[in-house]
Amino acid sequence: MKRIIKIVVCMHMFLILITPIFASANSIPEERLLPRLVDDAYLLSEYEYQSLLDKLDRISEREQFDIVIVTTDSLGGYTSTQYADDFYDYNGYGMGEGYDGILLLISMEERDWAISTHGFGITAFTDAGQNRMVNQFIGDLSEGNFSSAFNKFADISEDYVVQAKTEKPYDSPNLPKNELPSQVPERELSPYLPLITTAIGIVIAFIITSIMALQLKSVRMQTSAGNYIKNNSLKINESKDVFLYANLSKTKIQKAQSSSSGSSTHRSSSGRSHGGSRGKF
Amino acid sequence: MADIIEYKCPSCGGAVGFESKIQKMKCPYCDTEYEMEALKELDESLKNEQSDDINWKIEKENEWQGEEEGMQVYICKSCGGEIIGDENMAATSCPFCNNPVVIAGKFSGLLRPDYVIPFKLDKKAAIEGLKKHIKGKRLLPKVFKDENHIKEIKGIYVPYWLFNADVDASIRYKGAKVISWSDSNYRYTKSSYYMILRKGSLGFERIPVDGSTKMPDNLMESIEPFNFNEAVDFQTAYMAGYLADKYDVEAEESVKHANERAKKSVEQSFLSTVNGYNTVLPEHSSMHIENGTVKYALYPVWILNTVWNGNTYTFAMNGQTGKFVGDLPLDKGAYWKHVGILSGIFSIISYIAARIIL
Repeated sequence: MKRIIKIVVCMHMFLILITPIFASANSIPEERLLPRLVDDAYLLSEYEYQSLLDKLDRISEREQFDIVIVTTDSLGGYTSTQYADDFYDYNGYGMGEGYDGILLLISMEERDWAISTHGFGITAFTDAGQNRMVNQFIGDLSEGNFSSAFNKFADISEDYVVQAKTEKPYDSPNLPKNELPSQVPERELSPYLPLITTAIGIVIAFIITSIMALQLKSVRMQTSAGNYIKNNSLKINESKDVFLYANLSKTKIQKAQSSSSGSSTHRSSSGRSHGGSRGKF
Repeated sequence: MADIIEYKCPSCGGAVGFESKIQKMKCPYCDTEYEMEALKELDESLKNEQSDDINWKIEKENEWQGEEEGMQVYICKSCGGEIIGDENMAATSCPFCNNPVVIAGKFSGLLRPDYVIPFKLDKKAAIEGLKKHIKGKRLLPKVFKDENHIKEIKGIYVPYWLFNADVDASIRYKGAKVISWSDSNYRYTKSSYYMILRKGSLGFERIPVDGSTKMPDNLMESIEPFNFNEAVDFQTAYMAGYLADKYDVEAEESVKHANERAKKSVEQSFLSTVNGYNTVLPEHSSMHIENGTVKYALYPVWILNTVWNGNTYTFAMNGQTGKFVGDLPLDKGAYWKHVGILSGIFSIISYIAARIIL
């Protein structure tokens, strides 16, 4: 454990040295240079750090998709988006041919957050998807519950990647209803759910029992004489279908609240295309 | 007029009846079987033989009518016992010696049926039918099965009027076709309305209407249909061993219901030729029904009466096809118990389903 801390501290020192020369260095390494969790702002305890890093590594390897969290004390004059993009590019994050991944940057200087996505990350994390994701942990960030916020970020990211791989990515008309599908579904369910399901159960029971009760009745008058129609005796001598008139009505289609869908992208200093978003907490 | 026919075995002299299993007459004493054709001949000769003592019978009849309106008395040819029946009774069995008797006058002249569908199923089948009918009905009071006693089981030839009808009809409908599409801003719905006209005709064959007031109409219609292909020309010999009534509802009265049924079927048949619309509503219909011929037939019905809790339950079985009907009592306790248990089960299932889906 100590060793890791040492490495992190070394990395941190190294980073401080290279940060100003991000743009000028302009070389993208083939291999990832840093761990997936870089806590330069020392927001996490040793235990929190280790368990979160384990989680990020586990998810990233499983999904072949880098999920990275970086904290820093200062942006060094860059915007949070520039800082996040450059950090991603020049430290060699991203897995596979597309350098697929997502990076969450927290800067304590001005309490900025930024997300940078690349490769498959741009596809999986749409603008609407990111917006929804951030809404779920921004409260924790504001309150200083960094460990909780980062864990949520990791879980939601995995969910998004899995979703994007199996079906369509989460997007504005297609966002999941509950906050953390795999984690705490009961939190989102209506408190009236047992009442509603009981009502449904009672209705179904009445329908079935009434059908059973109806089986006791077998005596009824016949209303038609379908059994006694002479074979092929139906003759239609005159058959007319005359068009009378038509009505045309139109209704305006209700647009979804966030009208845009998909992912917006921008170019980073290295020239690569990134997706992402930023804000304050 | 009130004259009874008894079929005697030419071999041993015992009374013979119609056996549904072999579709022949059979002597229960010496097991001799007779073809229906042979008895037809016998039938004819019997009629001639009987004509002599009509006066004597009428006397008896009059004596009884004074005491109770509509009742008639007959003398059993085998044992001399008195058989009492209402004026519509046409076939029965002697209450003393149990020999089957047929009252000839009820089936002669204008009263002679055109067709008869002979019984194909016997009493055993009727009892089996009741067992099957009760089986698997969960809301039937449990004790009904054990405590319900068959009070009476009768094989009856029920008089039916068979109406042929040709219907000329003209029906006008209003139909709507709805199509919808959308562009980026609006959703469009176009409803096109049409006047739909259908003129044509439809023929019906032998729509049966129960011609006996004793038989509940709904019970008799519930055991339809009978397969008329198995009908034969009427012979009184088929009546032997069963009960039979002559009609007491006139054809003119029965035709109304047959016409109603025909009308409904015409509406359904014509509607089936109207295709391609989202909604179709009939606006006007005019029908001209021409009833060609009326036939009088006897159809075989098993009637079972059971008693439970002081109430009588009546069941009917189609004596040809075995279709069994009859309303059964509902166990209210069992009804609510089922509602309760099923509510619990489906509440839990829907709760689990909701948790998985949401």
